[in-house]
Amino acid sequence: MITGISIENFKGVRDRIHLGLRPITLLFGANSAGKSTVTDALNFFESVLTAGSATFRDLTAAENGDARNELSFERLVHNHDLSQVMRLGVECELTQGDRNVSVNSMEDTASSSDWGGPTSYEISLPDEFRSISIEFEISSILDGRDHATSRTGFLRGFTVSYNDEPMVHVVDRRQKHGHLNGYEWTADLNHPLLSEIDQSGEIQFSNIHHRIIADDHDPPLKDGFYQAFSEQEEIPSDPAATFLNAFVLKAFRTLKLRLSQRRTIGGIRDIPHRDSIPMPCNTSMRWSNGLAAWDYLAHCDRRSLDKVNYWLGSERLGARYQLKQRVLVDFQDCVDHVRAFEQHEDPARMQSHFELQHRSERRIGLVPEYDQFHDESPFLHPSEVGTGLSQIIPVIVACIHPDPCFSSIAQPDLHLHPRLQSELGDLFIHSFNTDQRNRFLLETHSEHLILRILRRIRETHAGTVREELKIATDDLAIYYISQDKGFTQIQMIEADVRGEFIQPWPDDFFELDFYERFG
Amino acid sequence: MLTEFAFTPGVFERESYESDKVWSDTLRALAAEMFPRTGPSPVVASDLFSGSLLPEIRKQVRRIENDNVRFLADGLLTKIQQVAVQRPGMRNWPESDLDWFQESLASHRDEPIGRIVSTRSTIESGEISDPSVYPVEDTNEDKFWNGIGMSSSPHLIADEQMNLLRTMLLHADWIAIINPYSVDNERAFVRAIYANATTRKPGYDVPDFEIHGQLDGRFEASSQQSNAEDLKKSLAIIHSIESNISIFFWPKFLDRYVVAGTYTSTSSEVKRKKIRWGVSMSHVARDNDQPDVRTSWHLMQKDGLRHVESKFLSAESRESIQSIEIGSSDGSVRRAQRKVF
Repeated sequence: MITGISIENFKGVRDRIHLGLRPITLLFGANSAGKSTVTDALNFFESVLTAGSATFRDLTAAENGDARNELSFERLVHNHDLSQVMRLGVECELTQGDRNVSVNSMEDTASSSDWGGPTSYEISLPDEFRSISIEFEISSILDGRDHATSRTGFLRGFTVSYNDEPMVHVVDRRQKHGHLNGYEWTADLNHPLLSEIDQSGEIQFSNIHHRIIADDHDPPLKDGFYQAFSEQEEIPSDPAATFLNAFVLKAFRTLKLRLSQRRTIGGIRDIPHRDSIPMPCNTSMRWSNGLAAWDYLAHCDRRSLDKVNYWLGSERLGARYQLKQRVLVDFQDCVDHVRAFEQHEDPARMQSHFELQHRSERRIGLVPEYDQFHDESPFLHPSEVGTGLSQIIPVIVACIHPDPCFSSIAQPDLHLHPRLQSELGDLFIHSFNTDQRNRFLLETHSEHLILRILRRIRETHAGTVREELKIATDDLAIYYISQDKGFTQIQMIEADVRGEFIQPWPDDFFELDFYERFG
Repeated sequence: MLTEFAFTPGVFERESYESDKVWSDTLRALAAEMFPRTGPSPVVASDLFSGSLLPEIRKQVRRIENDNVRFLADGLLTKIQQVAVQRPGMRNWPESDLDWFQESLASHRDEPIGRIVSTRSTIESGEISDPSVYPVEDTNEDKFWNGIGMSSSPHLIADEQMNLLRTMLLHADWIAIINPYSVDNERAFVRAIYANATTRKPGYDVPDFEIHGQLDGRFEASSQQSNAEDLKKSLAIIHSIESNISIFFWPKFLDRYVVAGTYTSTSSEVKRKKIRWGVSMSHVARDNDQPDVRTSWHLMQKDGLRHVESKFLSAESRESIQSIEIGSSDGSVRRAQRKVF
């Protein structure tokens, strides 16, 4: 999972900040304080990582076909100052499945085996290496006199770290010298991972400084560095360089995978149109406006639907409605297939029966909880129930979805009654605590949500809460985001085992109720 | 400045008031004075009998029949719990309001409580006259709040200044004295705080100390180390009980603060300092000061406490501090630290 993000010179953030992300990370702050900056930074980082593009397209806008929200480097760099270097870093934990690193090398035929073919190394990263991270340096293109010549962002370098210790720093020499000369890297030979391999005696890392690995490479900007490190790239002949290349590639691919697995749910979730047909696959764009949740619900199995209904039901959120799937098929098709079944006379028709499901249209709707088992109960379109319900369903689906992932959700409490906001706290705890181990980055204004989580911390310490609702202080990170003279400031606030804040809460957020009561 | 309050459960009972309106008005007045919106709360609340009083009052509040009064009482009690400090039990388990009143008096005799607030009938039943005891209706009068506030103008007299800090010094698990001259010509003030804070009755733990001073460019580091050793020895002589003392030297700074708090822990059982109170001071009493001169002190607001925490107390701020080991008189090694310039 993604475990950290660092931001510098991005939107309202000027000075470097680092946010450690825990199973539940809450971003609090006033409107326009900069809470969304964190999610935007993740999106922008992914955009650079996957496409080499220093342009960020707002996911919600993209789903709606609105290309105007494509944000350029100039719009995203702090203060729109093109002379600034933007730095964005993302860290993720290494799972057991991430530990194998394949190293493929074309050895020098003059000094190697008779056949001179490729040699493969397969190494497994030691357990003590728990995280990897990449930090991008993005700037506008500078000419030799350091004048901005483009409003477009350019990936001018990056640093790959293992266990939070920088291992390889790569720069594009075009930036340094104003002409095309390829990429250049510097490795920290004291890095524990390199030291370990170095000490094995098989690979010598003594001459690795300033090795150029992509001479005369002139990709268009959008191809950037990622292409340089893609599998199609020419493989360096030096075994040490090959190892470094493999570690860099490992970091790129692992982070790319992690970021592709995350879900970003925007602050306003759409309600599917009455005539829209649920799509069979979820895309990140459809998650951003919540429609992917409805797609999933229309096609999911009974068990998953039951999970969502459990959270909607009277025991938890008390939404008074339950979700129900309906399969719409053509009437004449049905008649034909029933006949085919009865007569057992037409194998072709039997075959087509099994395709019926495929050709049918699936619908998801809601039925009143008190009437859910009645065939004649009204099947309501999501637009026919309260707005809060339609807004919360994508959040619940993100929590119970069988694919564990990192979900960043803006205003999960949107349009919810305070009591339901409290229950949301349990939903998130339950989600990461059960088999899925989901993680959440939540932008919220909800006092009730955080108070429930703090209560569960207290109860966990006292041993008075069920296993699936246990949460330790280290599972929660709270960041208070504020604006000070145009700069976004971020302060971490920790909770103790009594469910109380260790640092004073910066504003009167938790005292508003008191002062309203006694005002 | 910071004043300790003890309420008896009767304050939250209907029978103590003429009408629900009088009761509501009293609760509103208490809330406004105890928890002003414009600054830090100047009160702490005694949680007598090792933290048993306030849960008892909570039970009482839940029984209030009038919804509006219960709403107010519940809100006030929640705020009171946020400023609570525990006191050890003195007598048998208190069963009645009078028992709680007697318990508060017994605790008060051990370590003074600024205001003991009870019902008139309970006070009369107790047949005790003490200037710290007030019937709850007196909380509507200005004289009740005299001396309780966010600011104070003490004389440059050590005893008077210690009296202002006494509540904080009594209930803190740790105390940090931040004063550029704490190991130089204002070390008498540090000694006075140490003496006050460590003179505690049984049931009150001795606090840990952090002393933050300025590494004056006039002196070599070795001289500062010598000063720090002298200070530490002089503090140790005051009492046989020796608390943990850490001394830190920083580059030039001007602030004078005494901040204090409690220890708490995370799930991974990491002991953490939780900052609760702080006083910023223009000047502090020195041996040769004119006693009729006054100075100004202020209780610190949340942002001020956060500033002090990040500047002097946080692990990040101490990352670049170089350690100096100071051997103590008992042979153990104490750690002092010096900010690297």
